[in-house]
Amino acid sequence: MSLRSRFASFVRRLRRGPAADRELDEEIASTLELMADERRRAGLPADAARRNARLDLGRGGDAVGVEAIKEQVRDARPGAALDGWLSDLRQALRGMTRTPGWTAIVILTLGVGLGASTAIFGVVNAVLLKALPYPHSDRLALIWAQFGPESKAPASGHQLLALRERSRLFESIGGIWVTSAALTGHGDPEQISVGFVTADFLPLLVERPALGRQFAPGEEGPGKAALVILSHELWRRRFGADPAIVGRTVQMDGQAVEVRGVLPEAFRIAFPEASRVPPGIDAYVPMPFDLAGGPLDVSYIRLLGRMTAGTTPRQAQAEMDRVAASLRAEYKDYASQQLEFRVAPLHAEVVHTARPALLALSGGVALVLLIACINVASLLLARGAERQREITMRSALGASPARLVRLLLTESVGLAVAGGALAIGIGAWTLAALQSLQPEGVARTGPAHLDLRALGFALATTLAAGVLSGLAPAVAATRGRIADALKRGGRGQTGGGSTQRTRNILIGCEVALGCAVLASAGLMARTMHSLVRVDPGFEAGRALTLQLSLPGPRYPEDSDRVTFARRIQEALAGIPGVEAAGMGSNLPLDTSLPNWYSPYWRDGATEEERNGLMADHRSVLPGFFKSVGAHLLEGRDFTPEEIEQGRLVAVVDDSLARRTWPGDSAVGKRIALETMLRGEFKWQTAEVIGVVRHVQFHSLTDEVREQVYIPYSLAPRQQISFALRTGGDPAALAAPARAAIAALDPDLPVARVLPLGHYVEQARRVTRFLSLLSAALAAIALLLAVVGVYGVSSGSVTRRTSEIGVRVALGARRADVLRLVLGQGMAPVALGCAAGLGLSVLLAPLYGGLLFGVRPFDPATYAAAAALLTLAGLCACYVPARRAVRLDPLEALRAE
Amino acid sequence: MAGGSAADGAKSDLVRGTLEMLILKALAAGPLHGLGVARRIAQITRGAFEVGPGSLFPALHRMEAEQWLTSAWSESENRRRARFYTLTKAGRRQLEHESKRWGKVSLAIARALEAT
Repeated sequence: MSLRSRFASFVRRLRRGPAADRELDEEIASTLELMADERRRAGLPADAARRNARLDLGRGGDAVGVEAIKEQVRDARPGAALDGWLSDLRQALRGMTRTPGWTAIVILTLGVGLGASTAIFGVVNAVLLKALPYPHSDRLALIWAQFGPESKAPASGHQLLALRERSRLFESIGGIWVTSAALTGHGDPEQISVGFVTADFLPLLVERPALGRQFAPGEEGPGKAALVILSHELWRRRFGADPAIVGRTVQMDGQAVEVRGVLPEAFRIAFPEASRVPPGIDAYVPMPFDLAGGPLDVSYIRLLGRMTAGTTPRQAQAEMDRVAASLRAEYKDYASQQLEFRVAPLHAEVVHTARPALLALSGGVALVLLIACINVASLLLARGAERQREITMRSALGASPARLVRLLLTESVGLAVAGGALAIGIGAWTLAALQSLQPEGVARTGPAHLDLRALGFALATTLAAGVLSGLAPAVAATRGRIADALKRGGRGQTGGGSTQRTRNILIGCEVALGCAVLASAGLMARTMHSLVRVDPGFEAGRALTLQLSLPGPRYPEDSDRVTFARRIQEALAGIPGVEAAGMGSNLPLDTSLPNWYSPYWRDGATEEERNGLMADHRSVLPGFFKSVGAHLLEGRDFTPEEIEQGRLVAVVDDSLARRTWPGDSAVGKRIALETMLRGEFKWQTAEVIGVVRHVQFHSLTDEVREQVYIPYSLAPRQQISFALRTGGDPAALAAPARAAIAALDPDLPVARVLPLGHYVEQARRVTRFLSLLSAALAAIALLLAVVGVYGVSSGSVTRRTSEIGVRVALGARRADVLRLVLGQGMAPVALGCAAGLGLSVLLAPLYGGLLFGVRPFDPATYAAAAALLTLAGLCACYVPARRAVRLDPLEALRAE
Repeated sequence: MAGGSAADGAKSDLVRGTLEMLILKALAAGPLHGLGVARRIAQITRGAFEVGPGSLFPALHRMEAEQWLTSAWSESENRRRARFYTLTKAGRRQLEHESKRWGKVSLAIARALEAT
């Protein structure tokens, strides 16, 4: 039979499927009549003849009845497989809609459990596992300078050149320093972030710009033509994506700069946070400094290198150790600084901060996924047990084992499709929510995608577990134990016993995993709580902040900047509602600016004592401490006169005071520190006039470095930040503050007009993200556990209806029944909780590093987790228990 | 193949082919209903083959789908409605083909058994 006619016949059959079935019925009926006729002719009475015919028709071979014959005829038809499958599907759908609650729970478990976890896996995959989008990204490595205890430091120009010259294992080493500049000429002035790069820096990260070309090696250094490569975003936002921009000039810091190129749209810099190189740099210009002629020890350049093919980071590190040793031998400064270099593969370093958080999340996701898996398996298993009677019946009526297995598989596949569809929906939604929630530090490598492969895998695993357990009854039913199974199918005490035991074990595991998830979520919530209550050394509420970058050409002299900054401070202080206005070179927890830190030492300290003591240097105007709400512990703030005269005075933080003059007052002591006048760093000795409580400039939880504050006139830096303290709404100050600054310099862009609290939020973002996600995971885990406990408990009550009826009939009181059901249902919950607490103790050290202000083995949190689960379990058991209590013994027994 | 058990019948091509050949042969003389086919086969094989309905009806339907047979409802000898099967041209060709093949096969087997 040709394929075509086969197909035609199949289509014919599809069209007249029911009609064909009817005809078959008639044909069998007529055959029966004919056979009965034969028997009557042979002399049998009419009804005996008919009975005899029916028996005869049903005998012989594998056909055990009229229905079985029909089934075999249907199987023999062309297209029977597909046809049978369609009918299976119909039956499966019918089965699913017959128990909508059960179906909904399975689909929901699949959807929520798999969808949410796959989305989180998508983020983990994008951040931790995927390669960075750079050419030969596996060979890119950061080279951190290290000065004694001060690690992850930038390098000096001299060091960069020395490394380039002496390294054989790096084929290219580039450097970047990020600052800001004012962009004027096209609309409002705007402060943009600018990367000063060596000519070989960008080629390490991008093969070619979208427009124009890269910088050439001869184009860096002092006195060269001013060039800029724009980011795609700035080009679109500021220059309307002008395709002819290359070669034209733009105004940066009041200077005409020629556009050399535009970077591709997808290009982002993915550097670790410690490098202070942000992902969204607006423009790149060639390094304008004299790298060779600059001072040896002014470190500001972040180094990125590409190792030669086949070089391992370990080999590169060994080479860097040798280079550092030779530099220390040749230069006394480097020897005293204890200069070293650390090679850190870029990818590992970028994910370094996100890694513990994401690993912890992955662990949580794995647990929840496992719970979902167990739940579905348990539900399918229960379903299989409940359907044993139906399956046995089908088997008795002539359904072949293959047919039964096919039917069950069809059901599972149907559930998988529905659950999978829901999971994709929920996953996509979760991922979108995660993308908007996740903090910068986590999302440096670009958007994550829903990993359908992972989703498919999870779905398949879940269903495989469920189907395997669900198939068992079908297999049992078809292994010639039909009569046996039929006998006990209704009651199922014996047959269902092992199923029930399996389900109890599954529920115990589920509760244990849920307990671990809940406990970790509890610890994360306590961490968040501690972070909210921690004293950062300043008061974040009711203060507005803003950033200015004073363009060099417009404010060339130190005195210009000091005068201008003081005039702005005065103008801002005059705004109605402003209680205090302050100015500093950096704001607490603002990581958008380069950090200035340098060695310091007690005046008169020996060379030996000086080693390795570093402090963050901040230059401020009087009123800074009040404006940010820092606590002055001793002495006083700077005075306007000290600013005007550029007096060598300093305020230090309490950590520095304690370390340098233990047990003694710091006020009146003298300290050697660094100033920056006319662009030159200089060691000078200043008198300490005050001590403030340590201000958390870098993180809410760690004291990174000691702090010295000096008058702005000792270091009139280009980037300055203002803080305005108010009794009212900080946001209301934004417009008058902008107006006040524009009145003094209309071309000066005002950047980052944000409440001080924003920076605190930023600092808490990873913990907030984690505690939010772990709470979501815990909620899912709890929900799944409740569903699981309810399912088992309810199934057990259904199965034991008659037994409970007998007990009640024999005089059991309601309380006894309640105790019986609750006790049975809660036993696996209690065991699970106990196991879960043990599991938590095992798991806690894995994410202990993420915690703050709470011990990994916090008994209160653990107890709360177990109590919550137990309570939820009780609620889940109570519903079927009430049903059992209300059973009418007569009804229950009749149900047999 | 004594008894013409359907279980055996479904399992090997040779045997299945044999059942189909017998049905074709039974219908070669004229249209018959299902039971008639079974009785006819019993008759022409002198009772050696008793085809049960469990294998007969699937075979009939399969063969109809192959377009070797057509069927129509008609009145039986004792005025009962029954479904009658008729051999088509394709069915006749198939019978010829099967007979030849069977002749070859049985000859070969006979030889094989005679050989010592």
